[in-house]
Amino acid sequence: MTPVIRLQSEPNPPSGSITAEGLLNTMGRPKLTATEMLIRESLQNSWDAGQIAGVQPHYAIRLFMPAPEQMEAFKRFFADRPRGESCPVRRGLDHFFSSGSPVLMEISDRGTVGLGGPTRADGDDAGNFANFLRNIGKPRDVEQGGGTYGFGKSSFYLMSGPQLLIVDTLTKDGEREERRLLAHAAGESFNHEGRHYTGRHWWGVTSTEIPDFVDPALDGDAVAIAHSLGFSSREPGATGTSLMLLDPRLEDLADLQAGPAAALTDELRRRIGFRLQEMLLWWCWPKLVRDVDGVAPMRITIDCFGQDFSPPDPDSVPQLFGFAESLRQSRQKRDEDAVSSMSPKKLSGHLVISERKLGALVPDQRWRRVLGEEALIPEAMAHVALLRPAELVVRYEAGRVNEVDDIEWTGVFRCSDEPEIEAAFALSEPPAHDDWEPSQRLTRTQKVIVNTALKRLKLEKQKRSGRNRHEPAGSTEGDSVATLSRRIGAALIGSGRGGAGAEPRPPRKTGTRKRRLRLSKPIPCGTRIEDGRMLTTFELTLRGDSAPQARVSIRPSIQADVSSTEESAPNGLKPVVTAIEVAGEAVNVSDSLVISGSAAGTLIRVDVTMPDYVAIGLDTSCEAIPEEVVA
Amino acid sequence: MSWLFPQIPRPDAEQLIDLFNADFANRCFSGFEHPQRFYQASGGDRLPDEELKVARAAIIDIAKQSGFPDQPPTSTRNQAYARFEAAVAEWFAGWAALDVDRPGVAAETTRRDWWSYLTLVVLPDVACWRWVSETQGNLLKHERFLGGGRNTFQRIHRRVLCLDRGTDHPDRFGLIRELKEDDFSAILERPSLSSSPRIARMIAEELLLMRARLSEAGWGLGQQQSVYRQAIKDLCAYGIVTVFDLLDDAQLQDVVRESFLQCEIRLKRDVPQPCNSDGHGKRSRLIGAFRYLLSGSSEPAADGSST
Amino acid sequence: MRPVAYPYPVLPVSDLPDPEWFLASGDDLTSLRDGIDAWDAEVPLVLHAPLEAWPAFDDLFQASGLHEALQHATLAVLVETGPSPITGHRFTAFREPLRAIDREAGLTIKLDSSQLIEKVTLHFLITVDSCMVPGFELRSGSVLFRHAFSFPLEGSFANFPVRPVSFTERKWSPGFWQVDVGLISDLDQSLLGTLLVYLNSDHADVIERLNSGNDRALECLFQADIVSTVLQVILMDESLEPDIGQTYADGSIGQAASDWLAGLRDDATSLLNVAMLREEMVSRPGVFHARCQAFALMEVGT
Repeated sequence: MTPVIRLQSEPNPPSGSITAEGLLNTMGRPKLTATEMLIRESLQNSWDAGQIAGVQPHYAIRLFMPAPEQMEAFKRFFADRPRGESCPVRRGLDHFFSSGSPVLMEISDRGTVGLGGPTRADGDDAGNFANFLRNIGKPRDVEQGGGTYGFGKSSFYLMSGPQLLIVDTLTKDGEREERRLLAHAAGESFNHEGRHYTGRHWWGVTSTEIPDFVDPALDGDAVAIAHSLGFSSREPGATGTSLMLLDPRLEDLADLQAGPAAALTDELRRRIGFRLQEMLLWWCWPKLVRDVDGVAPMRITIDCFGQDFSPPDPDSVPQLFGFAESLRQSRQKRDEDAVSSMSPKKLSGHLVISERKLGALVPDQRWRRVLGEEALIPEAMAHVALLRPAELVVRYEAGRVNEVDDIEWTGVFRCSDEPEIEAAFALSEPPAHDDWEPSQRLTRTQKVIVNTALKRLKLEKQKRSGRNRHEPAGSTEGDSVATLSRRIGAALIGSGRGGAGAEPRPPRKTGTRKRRLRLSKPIPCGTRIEDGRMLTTFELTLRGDSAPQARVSIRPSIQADVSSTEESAPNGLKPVVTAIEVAGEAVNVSDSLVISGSAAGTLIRVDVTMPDYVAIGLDTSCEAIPEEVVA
Repeated sequence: MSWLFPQIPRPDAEQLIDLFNADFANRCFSGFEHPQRFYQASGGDRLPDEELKVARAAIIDIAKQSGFPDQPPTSTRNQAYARFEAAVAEWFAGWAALDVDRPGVAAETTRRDWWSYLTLVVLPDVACWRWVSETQGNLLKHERFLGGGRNTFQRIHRRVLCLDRGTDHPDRFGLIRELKEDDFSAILERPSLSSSPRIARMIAEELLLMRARLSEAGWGLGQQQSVYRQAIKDLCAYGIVTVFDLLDDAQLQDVVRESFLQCEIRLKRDVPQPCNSDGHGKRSRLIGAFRYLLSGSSEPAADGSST
Repeated sequence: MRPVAYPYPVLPVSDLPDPEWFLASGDDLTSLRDGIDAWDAEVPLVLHAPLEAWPAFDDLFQASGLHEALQHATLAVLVETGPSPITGHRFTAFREPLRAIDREAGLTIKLDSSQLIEKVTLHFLITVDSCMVPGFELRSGSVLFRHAFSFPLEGSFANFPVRPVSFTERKWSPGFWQVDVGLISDLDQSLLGTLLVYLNSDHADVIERLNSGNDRALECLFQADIVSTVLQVILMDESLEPDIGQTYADGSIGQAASDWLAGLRDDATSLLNVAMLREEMVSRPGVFHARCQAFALMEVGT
């Protein structure tokens, strides 16, 4: 007898928590359609979960209409529904159950580890299960994993009418296998009886330990429920995860003029099938490119209402063949394919581009024939795919076919898998993982690494796109020194080294050069009134190699203009230092301090009076007092 | 669309200066053409040579009224040059080519290579005449001939950009005419103030009011200079904390006025006042005036510079 | 400008993300970090700064003790443009009460391109009208938050101004290259507007070697020459007073020079200040030039 499934609606804890709307808004402004995001995210998750030695993960998409007894099982499962007439989850469920032709989408993987770890999020070490279903926005935890287990989940919810997912997973805990089944919805935050709810809901088995809480159904119970709901079966040993989306939005897969309630014609089903197939091919072909041993990283199947639309081997698709070749070569990491920045000298990745005469291979036109202009896979190629080491396509750098020489080109830029470099590119990706844009989150070195790659890609694109036949000839002179200009610019401009506030440059040869002791730029911490006086505080840190003693001089000055300073304010008064703290200890106030036993990271706090309605800064200098003098 | 102004590249401009330095005879006008003259490669019409001809003729006429091609006598040299510059400013304000209401002109006129061209190719003789008192051993100072804040003609045009009271005003060029050399540099050398014409004008007006007020009270020009130099410095400091661009006219005027008044008060405290008896007061005024005239274009500044 | 303290509490700079500016064309946003590739003076420049990452203004002001100031607060964008600060101009491109700003929509301004030249600096400002917060009386126009961002029109700050021309055609001495440093009246003026390196196209083979990136020694000498020439001009001009700690405008000659001076200093075993470098340049120019070569070597790499 299967247990009764209950609803848990998440109340707002006193400390606040992200609402469902917040969860759904984590994607920023992606350039992809909802289905593309869903496919990329779910495939990334499957890939990350698939790091089992010797096992090829299998990723499957299945679209189907539930049989009547399965619908009954769904009704029983969702007997408890969220309150509120306007709740989108409730409305979505109502709609699903009243629809004449309900549709389900199952995304499943096998040969992967499944969602393990604790099923609740209250412990220290949240595992995959808790991260996927309870928490949001955890940092990337799989080394060089394709995505974060946190972000990206919103694409799943947005694809489902009731904004709801049922998760059925088989995972291993040591030697023991455990089956788990839990449903989660992201609706709208609401108030009920004086309590505020986040809009997140779970369906599961009532917890015996925590009130108003549900746990996933486990083992035998989970198997029974999963079977009744129509999940594809899973034998013992076939660890992995299946996601069921109710009432998936099919608008970007097919033009549904008659509205979602209408029955899906055969024609429409075919369209949907081709669309799914080409989306998978276009965004995930690296996973299908066979390596030198003849095995592809993943196996991918698509079942669209009983018809097989599994993507073909990219080597057999003329448009994608160039990608496959280039990818195989880039995996070898040959020196001549390397793309590096000059200063600092770092490898950004490997770039391989293959060319062929336009028309040398007849393109595969099936997608164009069925989908027309909207087809993702073009007939003529002028693209470079940008890949992270996880070999997922971030985006394409698309140019033009070279009209002058009639050359098509396809290529791959695969960023380096050295952790620091890979992190730089990963951090440049917005939540939708659909671009590389150096952002504020990167250090200067990381920005240089990413920019080097982007600039080189742009250059290749321009070079290979060739000139339009009608461009004026006079532009060559400038072009001829363009690379020199860029190199000198990268070396001499914006190097950002030096200066009292900058980070010390790392030594060229480890151990042979000392980093000079210096002070960071003073950071203003705020102005206040104390004992009738207006005071402001600055914080600065000592950096570099420690010295037995350092002489630090601190002088406040008025900001007299954008680039100039003065000693006195307009009213004639001067700012005065009233207190200095070094590493938390007060010291005597003086223009010139001697700090003993200084080490990198020593924090200095300075209080200064504010003499007038002006802005104040600190001029500082510091030098290490050499050993002989100290003795 | 703005005119495209003729320009010459910097190294060629410097070559011309070398030529002028090598031989006095080279310092003459030899046509509007120059092998390296170029125009910005964008949409718009090139300024026709006809316009340059008109400009040259008009400016030479103005210079003649101040003695060109002869040097004005030493005793009245500064006033003569000041008159010359004020008149050129008025003429620039009226010149169609520099009409700032035409889109793009205000931006295009900041191109330094255009001012280099105007100075070294169109009006080299006038420019050399203007700076005779500055030339040491007859060597021309590059900053007067190359485009930049101190270029012979660009500096005059900047006064028009910043201090033109507008066509609606009964005395449109009053500020440009009455401000002295040091006044201009005090205001225009500070981009935080001069980049906004509204702010520059307000300060200039206040400066003149202060001058009238303090001259009436017997203050010497040197003392007045101390007041406005300090006031302008103070305004720059306040301007870091309160953004002047965002104050309305009334608020800004209050801030400027207050700054000047405070400086007057402070200086009054520090400096012995001219006494009421005629003899002393008059004498100190005369001495002040005399010193001012003898010192050249301005009271000797701490850094010896002038704009 | 260096970080400064104000005579009243301000918004917490370290907690707020720097406004990031984008060029908007239709729905597309391109980052302005690397300048504008193809700027057209006849088409208006539409710029956008997203504000979604900012906390709600109410919360922000409350947390900073500035709650009473919120209703008096304004968000403004001032635009500064020109080849140098002294020969440039400044205008207000945007100004709205802060409460009227929709953070989700962000900030969009439309600039008349014909008013812009060479370089643009966008000053993002939150100010208040005169008002009182506990303990402080704020004057009209007081700054609560400021951020400046510069970008070049027509290209990128990171591209060095290099131009191949025929020296014989111009009747210049037939060297390999000529480092042309223009008048520097103000260290904040743009590097692109001040400096231009002419390559003698008559020596096509030399240009080829330089451009290829394979001749490290030649490139090192080239860079060293640029650095030493520019520094010479700046150090010899007493009115300029370059300072290593000073913050100059983005893309300015001062910023480049101060970076180079700091870089020259890094090689020394003892602490060299600007005055000492100047002295060395004047009295022992050979040593100074060798120092510039060593610095360039590190950039070019071994």
